[in-house]
Amino acid sequence: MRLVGDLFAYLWSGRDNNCNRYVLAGVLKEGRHVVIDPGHVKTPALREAGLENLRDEMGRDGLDPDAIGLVLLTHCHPDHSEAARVIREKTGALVAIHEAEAAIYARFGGTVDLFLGEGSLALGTESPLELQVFHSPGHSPGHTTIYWPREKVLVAGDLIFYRSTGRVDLPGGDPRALRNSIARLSELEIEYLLCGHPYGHPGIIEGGDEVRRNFDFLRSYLRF
Amino acid sequence: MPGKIKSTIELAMEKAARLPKLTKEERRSQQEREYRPRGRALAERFLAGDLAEGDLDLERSGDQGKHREIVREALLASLCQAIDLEDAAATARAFEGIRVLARDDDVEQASRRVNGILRDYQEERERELARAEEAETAALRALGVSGSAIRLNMERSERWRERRSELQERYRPRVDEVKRELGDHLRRILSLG
Repeated sequence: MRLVGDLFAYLWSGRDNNCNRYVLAGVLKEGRHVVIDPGHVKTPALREAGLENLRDEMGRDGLDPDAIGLVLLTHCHPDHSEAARVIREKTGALVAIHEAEAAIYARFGGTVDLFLGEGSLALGTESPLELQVFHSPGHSPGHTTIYWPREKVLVAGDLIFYRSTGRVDLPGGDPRALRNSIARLSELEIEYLLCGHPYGHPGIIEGGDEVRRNFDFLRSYLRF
Repeated sequence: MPGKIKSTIELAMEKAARLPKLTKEERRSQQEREYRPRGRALAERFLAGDLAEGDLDLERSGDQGKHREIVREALLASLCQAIDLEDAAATARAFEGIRVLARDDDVEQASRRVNGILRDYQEERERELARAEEAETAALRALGVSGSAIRLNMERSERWRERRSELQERYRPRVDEVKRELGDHLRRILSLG
């Protein structure tokens, strides 16, 4: 579904674990798309078709799922990154992830074309879409979040959820880094906070007031 | 009269005495199997920075005569092997070790020659890498991707990998030639010692 501008959201509604997928449609050369966190190819326990579901949903929105030029990964965990390998093989898309995630991603069989780090990211040739990438460790060491200032959208990966945060008990997790990352992002002006999973909520926290309330809630127990 | 009861060690010694004697070559081969790994291990630990130059002083080791020579030979061979076109730090460290064991004009000359080749290689490599990065960045920009948040993983660039292979094919035989000559020289020194 189209969320705002060229941004489409494909929220996971299966029973097994998979992430919410986001697409910046047609922003690259020849109308190629940028996919943020394509998720699982098949979910691990119930073998639900994650990638096929994404391709079907993109097709229903009139987006060619074979016309992907870039995959941005917020982090290396397979529930976010597994399908990137298949998309890369099938479409020739480039895959970008933070360097601190690259080694583990490679262990899952992934190939990194671009290292993604703190800074600006312009997508498109004429009047490009301007994004900001933040290094937001905590859930994993090289976790990144992606901010679109024009539409006040933050793709939060597994850092922030509705009234909750990403877990820090996985390898490379760091509670202090997570708190600092969230505190930093709470300073941004956000109208759409896009979460990495539909945990207890579909995963899109919409409206500045609601986003603020969510940060206030997190602030109250993370004490930042 | 019952015969003398022999201890286990006596029985083992008797059995060993009945075994055929090793030839000179077999003894040498057995000693090499035992002592060469010590030399290789010393080299590995020295290259990794776990040992200092003084630790390569084999006179202080418990090994004597022929055994010490086998250790020294293996150590020098491993240090020679560590001289590498792509690793200037390991190369410098290898020469530090070689100098401890065999310091003479030929070693110094080999060191200067290798350093010269590595310097030329690095300079050309940097130039070619910059060119390849420029081409990849242009291709990325044409796709519509740019900005400070993106850095190319040049290890994935086919253009760069091909160019680097060409450079290595050109420079590696020159390093190998010096390594071969140095190895011959060191073997000569050892046989004289």
